[in-house]
Amino acid sequence: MSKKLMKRSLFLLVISALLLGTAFVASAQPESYRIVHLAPLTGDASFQGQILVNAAKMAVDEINANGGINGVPIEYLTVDETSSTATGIEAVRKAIDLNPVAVIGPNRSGTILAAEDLWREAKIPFITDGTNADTTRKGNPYTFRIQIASTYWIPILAHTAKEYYGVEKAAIIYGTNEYSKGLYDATAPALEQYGIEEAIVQTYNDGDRDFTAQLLRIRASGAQAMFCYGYEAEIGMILRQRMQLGMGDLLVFGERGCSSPAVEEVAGKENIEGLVASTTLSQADPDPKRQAFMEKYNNMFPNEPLSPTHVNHYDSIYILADIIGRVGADREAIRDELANLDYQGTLAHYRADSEGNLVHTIYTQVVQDGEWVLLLEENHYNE
Amino acid sequence: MAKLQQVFKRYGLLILGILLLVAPLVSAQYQFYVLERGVQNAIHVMGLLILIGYSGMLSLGSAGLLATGAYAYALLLLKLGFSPWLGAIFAVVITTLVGLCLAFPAFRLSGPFLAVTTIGFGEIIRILILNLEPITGGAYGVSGYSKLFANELHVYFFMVVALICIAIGTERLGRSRIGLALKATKEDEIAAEVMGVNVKRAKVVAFALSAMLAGLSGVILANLAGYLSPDSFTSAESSSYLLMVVMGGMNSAIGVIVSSIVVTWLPEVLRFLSSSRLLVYSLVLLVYLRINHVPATRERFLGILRKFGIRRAADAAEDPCGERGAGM
Repeated sequence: MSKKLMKRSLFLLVISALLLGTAFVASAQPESYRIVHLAPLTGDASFQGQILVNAAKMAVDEINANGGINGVPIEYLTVDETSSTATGIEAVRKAIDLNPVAVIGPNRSGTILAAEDLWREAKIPFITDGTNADTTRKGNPYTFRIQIASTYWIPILAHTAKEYYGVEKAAIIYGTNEYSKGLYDATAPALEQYGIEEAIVQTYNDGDRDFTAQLLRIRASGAQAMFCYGYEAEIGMILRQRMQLGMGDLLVFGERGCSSPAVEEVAGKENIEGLVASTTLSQADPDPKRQAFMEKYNNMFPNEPLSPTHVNHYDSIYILADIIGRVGADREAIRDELANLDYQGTLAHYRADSEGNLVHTIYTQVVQDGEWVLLLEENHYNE
Repeated sequence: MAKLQQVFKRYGLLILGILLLVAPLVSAQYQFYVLERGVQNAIHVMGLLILIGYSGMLSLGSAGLLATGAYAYALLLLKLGFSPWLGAIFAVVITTLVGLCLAFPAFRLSGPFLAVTTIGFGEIIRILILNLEPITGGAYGVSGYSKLFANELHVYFFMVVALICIAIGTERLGRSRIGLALKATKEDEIAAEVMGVNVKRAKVVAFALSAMLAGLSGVILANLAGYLSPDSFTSAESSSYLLMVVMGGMNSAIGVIVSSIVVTWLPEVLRFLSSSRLLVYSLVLLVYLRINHVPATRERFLGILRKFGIRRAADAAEDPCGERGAGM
């Protein structure tokens, strides 16, 4: 072999190695990291869907404006989960088909329970936010929850009712949807635990507009307090009709949905006085970081006022960005990181427990003189 | 061109069937699922074609029958331990019996009164499912029942074969004694009765057949979704089934299959419109009815078609030879 040929082949070798190298670097650095957000943008639950998307979008814009994740932007796509389970399954399939590194949502417990097998097979981590305790108890290693399960909310409410308000006898009213039903199922054991007598249980169907019959029965039962579970529109109506029936002295305890400005809008400011609600973020929280976030959100979306329990996905995006920044787009690695999460976000401190629950701090707040006032803060972390 | 049209007319169902059978080879998982839902809806809507298209009895509660079929299947398997195939057969039988009950008010009611009754029926079924919690699981829904086929693809092929058989049956029914009796009843009930048509029997047959197909479709829905909850059977669903029948031409099995698949796709394509997409449904229905049932608009529409040089198609549309004429 001549020297010239040797030189030439060596040159070719070096060039090809270089080319290969750049190709390798290019494949390690994708054009974007795709995150899909499943949120109910139409139907009964649509008012929260828009808030969920706003909060996540805010974080995506902030990260991308600061150069993305190690220089790679986040590609954020929303898929309408709708408010029905049948079309929700189609939406989950669509989200999986988009081949994302991770998915945020679904929001409705019904959709999560119906479709969790799909992402278990696809091996994509899903950060869901349904409150039904069962959603994270299916043994699906890819399901995470950035919400608090109904089994934690209710004991706190019962505890508050007993300790702070001296309630002995309580009525329950809930809507016949899986979300409210999940809360109701957690109520009976909680009332028993704190020695509160269950006076009467009333139900209504979603879309009902007249709750007089149920409220009058609650009055006749002699209950001092009412635990009220449902979607914002119905809760607002119940609170308004309670005052119209002159039942102002009946205390009302509600779950996170009650902290939503939608309830205030439907019920009227004067009718929610004294309402006690538990949430994952309190409007009255003195923490400057959280106050700054709430102010920024309300400035950006003046027409869709912040609902405190629907903005956690702001942190979901930051959590994912942090993990992807460390491990890249490998879904298996992202899942492992989520399962061992310990992260200080803007809105809360996030730690994964054995079931994949990420949030554990519950705030209980009450409306006093038209403003939310923080009553207590409790931490529930199970190893 | 004319020859091609003839071929389509004669072998339309066959072509459609073959297209549906090869579809899984070319579509992604998600698109395939939507197609599956479309075919499943088509089976249901075929029953509505008999009820609404042939006999002119407006039913807005068909989601109730679909729910009956789906829940009957799931509950027979879960609570009574039936085998899947036996459960499927019984579910269809139960749905047919429930649907038959609807035929009795239809003897006396017609037009808007019957429509209101059927809306009520659909809502009663949904609210019963929602509130009979110990049996139906209420708002939590039911899951965990076994399926007819282990392989999802087999469900699809079963569906397509069933659909084609049902389509042929429905077409033939339209031309049979009973079908003609139904169509006569639709045109003028009294005149039909005077001519010796047994109107009651015709109505019972129409309701029974449509309920049977709704039941079958429900069983398949249960197999596709693997999870049932009452929120899938609202009256809004019933109206989208109505849209499928009307868009399908109210008189043709092929039309029903195509429109069912298209209307099932609509929400997926229109997702970007979010809530406003519900407007599109009504708009589609309005435009369709204007063009097909208001002669002046129809003329203008055909005129526009001609202007753009699509004359042949326009002429063909103006002369809907054969079947279409019969129903108009």
